[in-house]
Amino acid sequence: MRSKVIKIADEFSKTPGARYRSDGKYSGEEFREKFLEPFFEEDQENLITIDLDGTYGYATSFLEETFGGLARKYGSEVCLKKINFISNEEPSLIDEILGYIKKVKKQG
Amino acid sequence: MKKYTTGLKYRVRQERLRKIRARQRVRIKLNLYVRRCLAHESVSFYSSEYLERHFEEETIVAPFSFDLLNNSHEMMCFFDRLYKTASKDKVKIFVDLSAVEIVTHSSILYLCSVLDLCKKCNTPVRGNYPDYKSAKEIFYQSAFKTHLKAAKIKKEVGTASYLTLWGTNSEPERSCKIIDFIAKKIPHAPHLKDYQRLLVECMTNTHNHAYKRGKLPKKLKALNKLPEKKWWLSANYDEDSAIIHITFLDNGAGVPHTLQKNFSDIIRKLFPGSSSTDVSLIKSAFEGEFRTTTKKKERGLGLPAIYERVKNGILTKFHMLSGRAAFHPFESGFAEEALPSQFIGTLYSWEIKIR
Repeated sequence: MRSKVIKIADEFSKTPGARYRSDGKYSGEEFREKFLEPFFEEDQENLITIDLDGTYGYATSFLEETFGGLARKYGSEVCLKKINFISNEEPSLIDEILGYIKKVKKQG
Repeated sequence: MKKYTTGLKYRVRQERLRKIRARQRVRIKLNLYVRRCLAHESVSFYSSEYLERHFEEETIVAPFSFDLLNNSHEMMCFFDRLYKTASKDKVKIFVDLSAVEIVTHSSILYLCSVLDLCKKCNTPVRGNYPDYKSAKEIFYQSAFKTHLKAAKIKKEVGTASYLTLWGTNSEPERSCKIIDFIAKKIPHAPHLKDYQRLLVECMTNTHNHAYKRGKLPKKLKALNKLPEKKWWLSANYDEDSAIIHITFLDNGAGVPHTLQKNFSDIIRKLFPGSSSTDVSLIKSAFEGEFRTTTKKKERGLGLPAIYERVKNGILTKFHMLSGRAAFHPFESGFAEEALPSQFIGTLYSWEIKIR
């Protein structure tokens, strides 16, 4: 299994924004649709590693829309299997994101 | 060609010429106004002679303690009067700050935002500075001076001791300038990412909820023009106390008016002392109760995230003013205060100690 690494600070933005495209630039919706959903549509077997370091910080709504939105679309079990995280600057972010993905599972 | 000097045709021609000349005069005046606005010159749409003849000047005296958080009663009266005067026709405002001795940066930023609203409504504004030296210094060390003079306020104004921004959308690439400002004063500041997160949440809330037309208070609807979806953000460095004050505010409907209300909240509001409703609404939103008007289960995370950071000691001396509630959460609980009248908009402020 191959693993694709996406470093948000280099490939998307150092200043991630809010939830939706209508809120402003570099939204969670934009990141999810451009960077994550293509992998879920095409590459069913490969893993994605997301590097969260190097940005100015992530809004709660950005994280929820990106990863919670992904879980709502493809299922939280698929997301938990397919995505790994790197966050040396803010280790607590990983638990927060996993919380958003698992919350969708409970609601669904 | 026969010239008509009398009669109906002459009068019609004269009337037509009179209208053409009047339109030309307005066009010349408008061009001059636009050119001076673009040059950021201090300008009123009306000439000074016209203002002198046709406008009444109303003086609004600022209280001795120009502090929204600790002198809310007098400050609310002051700003209520500003809003009321701005909504009148043919009135110019003189803001008398001479008696001010105690002043806070968040109050100055709110004053700048209200004066910006007055200018948008074509209400000319003049004023003076405090006589008290240290209060005057604080006004000089803020964006107030630039904002008062400029017809069109720049989106970013700053020096080594302050940085003031305004915007309309969620603009994380601009709020990171505040983070850079803090990082310059405190090179290894620990919680910069949390501040950026908070600021992006605040901007998004302002953009999505604060200026919905149906929710705006009467004082704002009474103005000639409804406010733009503006937020204001300021970082002020106080060298004497080695503290950076951060203030974020908007002039919208206020958090209590934009939250989802339960049946019990609606009933409580019918009885006197409805300010307690605003306090309980904000408190429940901070504590993570489902209060988002979007009715989506994944929404409504902003205010609980702020409260989490207050409880963890990341945001110190955090204050929030909105609706008829002043809220001061701290690590082990809340302090709350019902305001004497409605605060237009929402204001968040906190401090960062340098050493």
